[in-house]
Amino acid sequence: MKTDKTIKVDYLARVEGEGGLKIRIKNGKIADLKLNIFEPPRYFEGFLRGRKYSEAPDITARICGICPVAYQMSSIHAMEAVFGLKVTGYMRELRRLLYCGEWIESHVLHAYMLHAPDFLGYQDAIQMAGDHPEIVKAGLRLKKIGNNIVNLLGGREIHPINARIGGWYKIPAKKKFMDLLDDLKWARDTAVDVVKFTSTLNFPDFERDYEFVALSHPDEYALNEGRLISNKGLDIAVDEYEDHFEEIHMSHSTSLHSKRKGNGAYHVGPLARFTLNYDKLSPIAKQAARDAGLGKECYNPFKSIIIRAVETLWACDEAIRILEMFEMPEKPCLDYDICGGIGHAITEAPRGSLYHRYRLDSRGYIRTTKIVPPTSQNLRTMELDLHEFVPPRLDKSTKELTWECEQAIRNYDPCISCSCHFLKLDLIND
Amino acid sequence: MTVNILNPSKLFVGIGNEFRGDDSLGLLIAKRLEQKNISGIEIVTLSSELFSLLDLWQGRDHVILCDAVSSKKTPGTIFRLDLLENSSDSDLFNFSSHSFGIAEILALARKLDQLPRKLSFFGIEGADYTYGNKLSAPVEKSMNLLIDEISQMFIN
Repeated sequence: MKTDKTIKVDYLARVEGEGGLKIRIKNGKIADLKLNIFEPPRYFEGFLRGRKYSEAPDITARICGICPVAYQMSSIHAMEAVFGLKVTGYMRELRRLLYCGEWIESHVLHAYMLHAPDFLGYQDAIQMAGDHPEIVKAGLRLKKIGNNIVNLLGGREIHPINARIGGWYKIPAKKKFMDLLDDLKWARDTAVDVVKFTSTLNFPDFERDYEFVALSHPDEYALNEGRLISNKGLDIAVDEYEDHFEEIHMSHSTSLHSKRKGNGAYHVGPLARFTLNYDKLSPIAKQAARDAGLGKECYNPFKSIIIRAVETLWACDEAIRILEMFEMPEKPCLDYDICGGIGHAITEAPRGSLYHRYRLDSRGYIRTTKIVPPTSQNLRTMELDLHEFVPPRLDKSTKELTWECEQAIRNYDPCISCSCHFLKLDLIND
Repeated sequence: MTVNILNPSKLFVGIGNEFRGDDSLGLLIAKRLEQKNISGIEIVTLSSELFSLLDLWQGRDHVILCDAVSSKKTPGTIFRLDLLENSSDSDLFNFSSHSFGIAEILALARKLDQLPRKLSFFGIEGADYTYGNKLSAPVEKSMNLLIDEISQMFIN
């Protein structure tokens, strides 16, 4: 067996944004492994300084075209924490509905268009569509149903503009919400089949003892609110986040790497949420997970495609629940007083926990901002996955191993655009 | 996505980013066509979510896509392409600034048999894609010619 190898992929396709991976193996061991993120920094935290608090949701939404709702929600909740404002009742439910729309469109895009081709041996979804047109058509229809929720409630499909501190700018008429129901019922039925389909894929035998970190709520599968917990003893309020986590600059990455102080790398996203919050999934999602052969926890990152399908099913079910109890709020937005202070929030973006912290002056202008996207939090874990994944597989061809390494990164549905922007892969054999 | 004037047979899709100089071309042409009140066409603008094209153009008689082009030709050069006759989709559009771009959507539509009966592309080579909402002079000049050409095409 050749024990020296270089895996090099100049452009890692089917991820959101741009970056690269280079692995050098010497004497059967990894001599160097770097997930290079070379996109220029985007300075959002810098140019929010001096902006009014109310601008943050729409400005931060521009960080990502795939998960703008997550950025809006984290910034809105952080501002509301400063003002001591609590949105409750059906206005709160509508926020969950908007988030469900984003989860559906983002999870479906990743599972069908970006990740499924890996398992089925296709270069991309277009090639896959030639052999499996019905699967791709169903995926596109599912995604559109997620888009429709965001379009209705958010005002447009990408970078929605209707969510605001205290509630909404405008709440659409009841009939428009009810028009979503039939499609969502189809989506829920289809999502059951998608879970079944993803469970039939072949998964590499690979598990790691991750520290899973996710938001957890006593009454619901957490999206917007809760405590941040882990399977290794973490249980904190969101405003304690920076006491327990830190960001480190790595010379090969324009995205910072996050670590839990004292514990190192950790894992956010669907696997973490599923494992930590399984009991809060709806019955239909639990049943589908059981039928797919999943237990109550999952440590194989390649199986994230099944978990995304389960979460898509859950999001369809949750959206239907919210729509079926529709109740028009008396007014779209709560009154509040502007004041200075520090506000923190974490919400669950499709890719994992998204932290925002703002310090406002007494007139509501932003003095400082800190944003920690889920992809930054997972970057170190992606590298550690490859450190364990590659050595036992060195007898494979470079082509095959490179393919699997790319797949291992796509397990995280990385949004490099969020963490800064793009991805590229190199596997080098000395 | 914004939609105006519903008509099932003809569709104009302006694609672009209003904040990136010449990349706003498709959106500006859409706006100018709307002002002309030409009957019998639907006008749509798209910024980044191009998957919706698959549904939008299915079953149409004629769809025109319009976007800025970056291919190292002279700024202001006008491109006119029949997308259904051109077999090399990826070669044709690998210069788009949109990530899951027209090339991928077109290839996907072919595989899924979701194409309109006629599909045209009109574009103009851009000069400046930096931040800002102003067209460069050569693109603006060509844009006026292109608007007249597309208007005539729809009127006829």
